[in-house]
Amino acid sequence: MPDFFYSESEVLRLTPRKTLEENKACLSAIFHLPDNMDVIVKKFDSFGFSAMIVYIEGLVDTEKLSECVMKPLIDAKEEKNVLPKDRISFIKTDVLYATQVSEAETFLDISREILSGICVLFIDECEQALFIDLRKMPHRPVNRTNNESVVLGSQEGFVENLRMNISLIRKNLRTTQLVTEIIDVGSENKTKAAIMYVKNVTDEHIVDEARRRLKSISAKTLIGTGQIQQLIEDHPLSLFPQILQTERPDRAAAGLSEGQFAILTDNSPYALLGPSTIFHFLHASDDSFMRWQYGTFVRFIRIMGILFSLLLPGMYIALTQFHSHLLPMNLLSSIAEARANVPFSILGEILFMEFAFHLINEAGTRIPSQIGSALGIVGALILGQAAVTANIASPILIIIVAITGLGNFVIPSYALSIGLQIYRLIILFAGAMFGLYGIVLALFLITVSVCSMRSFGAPYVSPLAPKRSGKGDVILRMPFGFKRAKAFFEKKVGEEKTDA
Amino acid sequence: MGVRWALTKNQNTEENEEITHFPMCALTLVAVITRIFYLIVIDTPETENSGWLSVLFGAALSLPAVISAYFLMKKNDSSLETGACKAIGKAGFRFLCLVISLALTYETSALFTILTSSGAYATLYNTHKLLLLVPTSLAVIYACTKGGNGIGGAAEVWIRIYIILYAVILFLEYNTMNASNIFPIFGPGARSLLKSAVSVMMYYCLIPVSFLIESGYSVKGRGIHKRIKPESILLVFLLCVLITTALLVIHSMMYPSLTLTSIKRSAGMDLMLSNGRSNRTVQLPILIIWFSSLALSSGYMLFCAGRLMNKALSESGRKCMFLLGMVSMVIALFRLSGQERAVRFSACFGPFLSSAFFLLAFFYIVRKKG
Repeated sequence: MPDFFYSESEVLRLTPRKTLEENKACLSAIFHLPDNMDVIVKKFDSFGFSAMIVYIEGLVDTEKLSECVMKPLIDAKEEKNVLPKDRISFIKTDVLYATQVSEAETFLDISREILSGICVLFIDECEQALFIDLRKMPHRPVNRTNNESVVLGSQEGFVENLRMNISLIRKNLRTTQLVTEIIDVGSENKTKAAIMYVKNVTDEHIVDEARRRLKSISAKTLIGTGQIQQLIEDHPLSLFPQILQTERPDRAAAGLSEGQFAILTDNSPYALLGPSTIFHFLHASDDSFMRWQYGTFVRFIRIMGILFSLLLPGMYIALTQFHSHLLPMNLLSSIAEARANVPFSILGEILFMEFAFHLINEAGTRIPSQIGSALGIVGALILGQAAVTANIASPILIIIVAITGLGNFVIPSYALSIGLQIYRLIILFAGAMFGLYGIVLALFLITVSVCSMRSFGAPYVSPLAPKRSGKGDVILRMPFGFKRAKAFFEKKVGEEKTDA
Repeated sequence: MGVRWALTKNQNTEENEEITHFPMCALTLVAVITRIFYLIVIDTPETENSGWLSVLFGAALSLPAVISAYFLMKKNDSSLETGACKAIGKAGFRFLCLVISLALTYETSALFTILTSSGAYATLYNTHKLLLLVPTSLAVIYACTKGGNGIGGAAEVWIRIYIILYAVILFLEYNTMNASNIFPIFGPGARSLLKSAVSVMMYYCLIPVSFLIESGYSVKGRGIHKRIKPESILLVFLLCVLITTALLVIHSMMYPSLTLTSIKRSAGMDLMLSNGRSNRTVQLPILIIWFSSLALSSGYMLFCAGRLMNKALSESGRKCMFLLGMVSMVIALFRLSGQERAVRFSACFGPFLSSAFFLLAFFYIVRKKG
């Protein structure tokens, strides 16, 4: 039983104590020792005095620990000349082989560093401690991207290790102007986040704002960039994402070179890029890797797909229910024939098929790959062919739902595609209630709402609305020779607009 | 401590009442062109296929007001408000803002009426107009409270959509256009054309009103507040005149003259929105342009009314927009902004607005000399 007892809250403010017993008592209070069995506390003698090393099993490279730390310390002969107050600096400079060694200040720092995989060395009669970085976090190797696949271009994706992700960006952007700031985010369980930007390219006001927002996050626990994104974006209630989430280091590097900043966090294979406009969510990485004609054509197809995805079900219901005179007679009669035996209203029919489609989509995301083929059978046969045969849905509606779904899949950003699915339902109901009048009114409101949005001060639909000078790579993929070099939110020399 | 969003309280709302250069110009273009086009095509079908001449006459009549506004901006560092205050004093300027604001509130209600009437005509024959008016009004009020740059930005986006849709219309109607439809040039006679030109004048005089509410933008770190160049007012005016005239000429070439038919709004609506003589396929883009441009114009009128009321009473612009929007809805609900009243109102208010800007410049010169 130790002679010293500290509560967890008071011990965090303390600096390392003079005796190893006291230090051990402090650590016991923080880490709930001896119940907590993966926190390793080893006592040993070195140079004629006692020492203690503390680390978490599994987070530290034990081979390096024994080679670079334990062996030189334990094998050492007694060194009588070293005074107790000089022991730490002696060990740091003359004994240890480990390269990243620094001195600890409080138990708060000590606890955080131990949790992040650092070893802490305490020496008897020394009111100091040493951090020794021998981390060996379990992480997967750099692999292909899962959600942002491209035909042309790099196939590397981020992993769950912050250091690795930073180095992947640095590999793509070899400039001395690239700055990486590390910030602890969250109130209790601090998560390491890196904010990266290119000096003289990214506007300092934008970086300041991003830094301020990151530091003001008060959530107790943050796991991954998804939560950070929701906490720092300008319009948390909007259906449109305002910070681009990418798993591609080359895309993050391209964004950085165009004046965006990137936020990376430990344990997340994504980078957050801001400020982002709506066009960032519509562009794919390989648009730039293709010849400009192909890139423009692909973008045009994508925009058509998005429009179909957003409007087709709403337009179908509006045209068939309210504006049948706008349809050619042949088409109108074939729709009427196809629907003759369907017992539901058009709205009910669309909602049923939309729900079925969303079910298949969601199931496809969650289902284990081994039984994935079963989903195809269910989707194609049961919900397609069988629904028509059972007169639950008309064949033309199956085509409409299929085109709508395909249109949704061409959206490069998953977050935007979900937002547009919700907007599609809103437009569907507007069309069902008020026909084209309702659809146009809904589109009017959506455009107003989108145009009033900002991402870290940059208007969300710029450079289109409000019109801004700068890189015109918006809808058309212009030839590289015609492109203006700077995005509208990049740092300007001399002056800069603060509003739209 | 719980989780909260990392934004400061007013980070996104502080600029909501402002409208800057491009959004303001785009919104003005859409609203003025739309309103004049519908005034000629729907509200005054007696101009027949010579309505485009009324547009030109109206432009000539409103030119003194536009030039006066240009003069005041030129003399006052691009600030029309400063010029107006110097001419008639702060109290006089506030009174003028109040009058224009109330007039635009009425105009908003006229647009609500056109919008709901055309909605009912083209889509919802059996729906009570109240059920159309309330969601329409609330949608426009909501749009205005999202800020000038929101609704102005939407106008910039829709202008691009209009260009594409209009190209589709021209492509589909290319074979049916007949240049002889615009003859005789003076159609119903100079008297009718001049009468509608006086109504047209009101909408051209809204261009200086837009420049009155334009807020400019600030330059960080230098303490500079940049304002729009005075020449822009002439450019916007010129664009409005040219585009409206061109649209009306093309419209006249598409349809034969509507002589000896009803002069009610339904006559024009029948021509454009129903099966009538219009191509079936072309009606889809026409309907989209129709509804959206009217919604944007209503938003413009309400936004201007709110901002002017804000200048007159120093109340919050958003609050003013909400209250004036509700007033417009009530006026439309009681059918006090129907076709005849709206045309008569614009015929009276147009000359008032034009002479008001002219007198501002006159008083400015007199005071400066004095």
